[in-house]
Formats: sequence, C-alpha cells, structure tokens
Amino acid sequence: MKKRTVKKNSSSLHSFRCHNLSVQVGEKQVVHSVSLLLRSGETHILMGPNGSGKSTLVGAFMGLPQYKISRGSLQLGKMSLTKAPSEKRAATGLFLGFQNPPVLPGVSALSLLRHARSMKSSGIAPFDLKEFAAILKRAAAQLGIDQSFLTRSLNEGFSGGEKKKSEILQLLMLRPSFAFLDEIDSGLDIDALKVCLDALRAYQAQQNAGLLFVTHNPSLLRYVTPTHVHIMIRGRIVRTGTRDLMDLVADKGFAPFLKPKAL
Amino acid sequence: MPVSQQTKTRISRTISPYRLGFRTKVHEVFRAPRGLSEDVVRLISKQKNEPAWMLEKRLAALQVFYAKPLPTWGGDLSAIDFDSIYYYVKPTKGGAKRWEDVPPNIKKTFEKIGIPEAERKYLAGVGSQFESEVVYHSLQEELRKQGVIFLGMDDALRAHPAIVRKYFGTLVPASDNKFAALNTAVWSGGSFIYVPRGVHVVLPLQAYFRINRQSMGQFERTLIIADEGSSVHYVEGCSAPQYTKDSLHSAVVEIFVKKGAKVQYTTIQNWSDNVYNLVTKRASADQDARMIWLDCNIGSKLTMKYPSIILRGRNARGEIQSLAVAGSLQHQDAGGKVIHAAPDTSSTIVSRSISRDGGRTSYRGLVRIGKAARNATVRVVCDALILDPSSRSDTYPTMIVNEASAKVAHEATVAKISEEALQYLQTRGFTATHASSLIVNGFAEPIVQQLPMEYAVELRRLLELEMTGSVG
Repeated sequence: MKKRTVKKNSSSLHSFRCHNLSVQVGEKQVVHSVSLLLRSGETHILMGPNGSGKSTLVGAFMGLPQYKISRGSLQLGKMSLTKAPSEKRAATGLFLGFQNPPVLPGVSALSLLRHARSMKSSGIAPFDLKEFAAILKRAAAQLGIDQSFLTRSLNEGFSGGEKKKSEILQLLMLRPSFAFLDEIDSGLDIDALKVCLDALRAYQAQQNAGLLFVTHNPSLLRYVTPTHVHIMIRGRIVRTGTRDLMDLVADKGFAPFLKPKAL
Repeated sequence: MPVSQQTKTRISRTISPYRLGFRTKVHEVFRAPRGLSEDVVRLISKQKNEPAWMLEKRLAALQVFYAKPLPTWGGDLSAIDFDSIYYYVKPTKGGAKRWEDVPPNIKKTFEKIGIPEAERKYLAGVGSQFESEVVYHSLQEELRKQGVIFLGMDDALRAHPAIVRKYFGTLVPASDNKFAALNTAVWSGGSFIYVPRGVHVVLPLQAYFRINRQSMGQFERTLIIADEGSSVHYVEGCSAPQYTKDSLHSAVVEIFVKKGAKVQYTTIQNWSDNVYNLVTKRASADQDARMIWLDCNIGSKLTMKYPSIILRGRNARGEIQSLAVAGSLQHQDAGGKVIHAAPDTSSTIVSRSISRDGGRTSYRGLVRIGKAARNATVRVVCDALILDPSSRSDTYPTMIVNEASAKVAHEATVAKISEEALQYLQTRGFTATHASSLIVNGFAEPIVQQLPMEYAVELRRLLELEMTGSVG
C-alpha cells in the first residue's frame, strides 16, 4: 500500500529540524533554545502544562507572524525555512492543525481546497477535478463529515469537534510531509477522536509523513503510539524520551518536571 | 524618504487592473456645445426630429432641474461641474442593424469588450450605446416574429410613439429628483422593450453602454413593458476610459411588469473611477407579477442608485439583490426601495458590500408597507465586508410599516477581514493577495451565483483582479 513512500527529492525532504529556536511574542520570550528533529514516518508528542509555549513553538514552525523567531533556525531537509513566509512553508509540505481555527466568512472547505488544488506551488499534486472531488468525498466520509458541511463557511458556528475534523480533512487533502497538530484532542469526544486518529494513522502509513502532536492530556497515549515524547516546561524542552514518559505524566502529572533544570 | 500615502494611491491607481480604460479615436458626427441650456435641449430634440410633446417634456424638466437643489445626503456631489459637460455627442450617422455597418473604431471598441462574441453565444438581442446614441441593435428574428420589440429608445419613439407617450415618465416623473429631471431634459439613447402577452424571452437581452470622451454626459432612458404572463431578462453593462476630468452618467429606467409577468434586470456597472453614476430605476409590479433587480456596482467614482419596486397588485413579489465594491477614491451609495401597496405582497432586499483601500460603501434602503397591504412579508439583509481600517461602510435602513399584519425581518452584519483569517489561509499555501481574494469572492458569491453563468465567471475574475491591486 505504500505506493508513494519513495518520493522525488525525498532524500532532501525527509526531516524537519528546529535548532536552538527561541521565539518571542511581543517583547516576551516564550520559547527558549528548543531543538527538535522530526523525521518522515515518526510520531512525536509534545507535552506540557498550559502556557508552557507549545502552541507558540508550532506556530513559529508554521511562520505565524505573531510568533517571532529571535534566534535559531528551521530546516526542511537542507532547505532553510527560518525566514520563509507561511505560504512557502505550506508549499514545501508543512501543515499546522490549529487549536482554534478562525472563522472564514464566505470561504468553505470546498472552495479553500479547490483553490489550493489549482495552485502549482501547493503541496497537492494537481490531480484533476473529478479525482479531487472523489478524494474529498472519501476523506469526508472517513472522518464522518456530512457533505453539506463542505460548503459552509469554515468554522462559522462549528462545534469544537467539527473544527478539529475540518482541520484533519484539510490535512488529508493538502498532503503535507510534516504536520503539527495542536491540541487535536480538545473538543473531540472519544469516538470522534478515534476516527480522526485512525485517519491520520492511515495517512501516515501511506505518505510516510512525520507527525507532531501537541497536547497537555496524556490520555492521547491510548490511541497514539509515539516514537518520541517531549516534555516542555516554561518554554524549554526539559526531557525527551519514549512513551514511558507519558506514563509518568499520566501517573504524576508534570510535577516531576517542574523542579530545577537538573532533571 | 518614505512614500506618501498620496503617491502610493496614485501608483496603485496607475497599476490598477481596470482593463476597460482604453480610449478610442472617433470622428463625431455632431456634438452639442459644452454645458446645459435651453438651446442645448432644443438642439438635442431637433437633431432627433422629435414630436413636440417630447420637446415640451424636456423643457419642463429642465426647469425642474434648475429649481431643485443638489441632494446633500448620500455622496458628495459638489464637485460636479454641470457647465463643463458635453450633454449630447452623436458618434455615427445612425444605428446599425448589421454589425458590419458599425464604424470600424467603434466596432473595435465593442469587440475589445466582447459584445458581438457574447451575442453569438448566449444572447437573444443586443444594443450598444456609444456616447449619446445607440450605434448597433439586433434581435433574434424568431422573437421579432412573436411581436417582441427591442429597440433603441429614439427608434422606439419614432416607430411606436403612442406606447412611448403612454408610459414615458409615468413611473419616474421629472419631478422625482434633480437627476431624473436632468435625464428627462437631455435624455438620449437607452433601450425600449415590449414583450407581448404570454411570450417568454428565454435568453437575456443585453445593452452595453460605453462612454468614450472626457467630460461626457450619458443620459440614456430605458422603458420595459412586460405584458401579462410574459417574461424577460435584461442585462446591462457599462465602462469608460480613465480620465482626469469627470464624466456624468445619469439614466432613468422605468419597468412595467403586468399581471403574472416576470422581469429580471441585471446590471454589471463597471464605470472607470472618474464617472459619477446617478441613476433612477423603478419598476411597478401588478398582481402575481415578479420583479427582480440584480445590481452589481464595481466601478464609478460615486454611485447613487436605489432600484425601486412598487408592488401594486395582490401577490406581487419583488427582489432587490445588490453587490457593491468600493476601492480607493470610490463611494458606492446603493440599496433599494420597495413600496407594498397591495395585500399578500412580498419583498426581499439582499445587499452585500465590500470596501477596501479607503473605499466607502453605504446601504440605503426604504421599505414602506401601506395600509391596504395586508399580510405583506419583507426580508432585508445587508452584509458588509471591510478589508482595511481606512475603508468604511454604513447602513441607513428605513422601514415604515402602517399595517399590523406585516411580517418584517431585518438583519445587518459587518465583518472585517481578520488578520487571523488571512494568516490561516497563508498556512494553507495562499499568498496574502490570493487569500483576500478568496474571502472577497466567497463573500460576494451569494449574489454572483445568481448572474447568468457567463457574467458570473467574468465578475469572479474581475473581483480577483480588483484584489491583486489592493494588497501589499
């Protein structure tokens, strides 16, 4: 089934790396010298208490202008993305699933994806309209999204769960190589969460994508098998390990990590 | 030195995507001297060999024009210099029935706009007005045989004086407003349509209005009569070259929708931004009749236009759907008016406006439900989208309800394009320009999708072009 694992240029695009990254919001430094390597096919979980800088970090990955990179670098393979605008990052294969996507009056999922499809620079292969419609229909069905939903203004009157599903739908259609999913587990009930994670798992298997989940809730562990787990406290990654780390959080919360850096 | 806002505006105007701003060299057949006077009015009437009653109407209207003050509400009209305007310019000897007979320069102008091509593809008839006169007119033979009349207004006055006299100025009298008076005094060109009882004109009839010279005044007069149980869709488009001196377009449109008939009047107004567009449009709808105004205003310096419907027969329905886009130095003051004068009548007014780059849009609407209009239903929705902090949008709705059984609903929203929404789209691979064009098109779509397909495609493209000039 892995018919697209060997991609053109895959040698240069098989890793996303941030190196010594510091990020400011306004005057305040929120992320301090974070380094992280996400390779194709890997699944990372970034955990930390509220306000530890997780959303800021992935926002900076995607180039959102309110998150200013004050030091360090971002790279996709050998390509530097530190100064690239968001649209360029998207075009090279990055994707951010928003925790709170904004309302887009008049823009439906269908029109967004159809226009994205027509852009040569986008991550999507310019497959034909009929094929596009079929793929979209299938992806929506897979996520349990009603057809009528596709033509509504994005996020206007969407429930928390609908917003998350719409983010995942866009991911499936835009086909990124690396995706950052911010708090995908908030607002989704267990059944819906399972459906979304199944879809992501299938996508990852097919495209060999690298996934980074951001969460403060260790129960995500029940449905995701991470290759790496990072604990972020006050803007720093204080520990990187495997799923044992999540078990520890599930058991004792973040308290063990809140002590001095020596850990 | 930083670039001043004024310079920026000038630059953005120079590179603005108005594609219809070219000029054509034309050897005019006749031109009245600049400015307005009784002599000019007499000259126009004489050129046209009109019956005496029309000259009398014109002269009376001129006095009304002089007597009425400039409106002080709506847009700023103080810069209009009525003395510098050409009120009558005749570009050709007469209207052509065959495209080949149109003078080459004028033909080329309309070919650039795509008129004859459109006619071949999807229109039942075409009229083309250049300056003051209709230079080309055609109607499918089939429709002519069924008794449909589609003529330039001047031709109609010659060929069917009795009908014209019966209806002319009865819905929009010269005394209605200063610009209706001006139009009545100096009118020239426009369309006349008569659809006989029970005849359905399936494909649209189209008229295209072109202003070519600087300081031109265009005053076409349109009269549409849809007899009982008939239907017709009339589409008008317009454009002009860009000049530093202003031109004036002031039309009057009167539409009579008889019992059980249906008329749709679609406008795609794309004047260059040196044109004052001050138009009076009114329709009356008899029992079971249906009138639809679909009014898209993209161009002009200032538009003041409020298509109106008088629902005077039981169960008559009226719809006014409008889209207004105002960019740098533009003001679109538009909306609609509905008078419910009979029982069981219903009306819908939907207005969508977009302001950007310092542009201003205003919705101005009036709905009046008279005492006899039992069980009237009214729905008014106006939505505005503001693209940047220098742009502006206002709403001036008026409702006068004199009948307790009326059902009235009114909604208004103002949305700003949020920085957040643009950034979100950028993370999906869109540039800032493309992102705002996506939002603008999405916002306009409910109106745009009601246009005939060919126009919808063109308008979507136009909105995309408009946006590329405005961001960054």
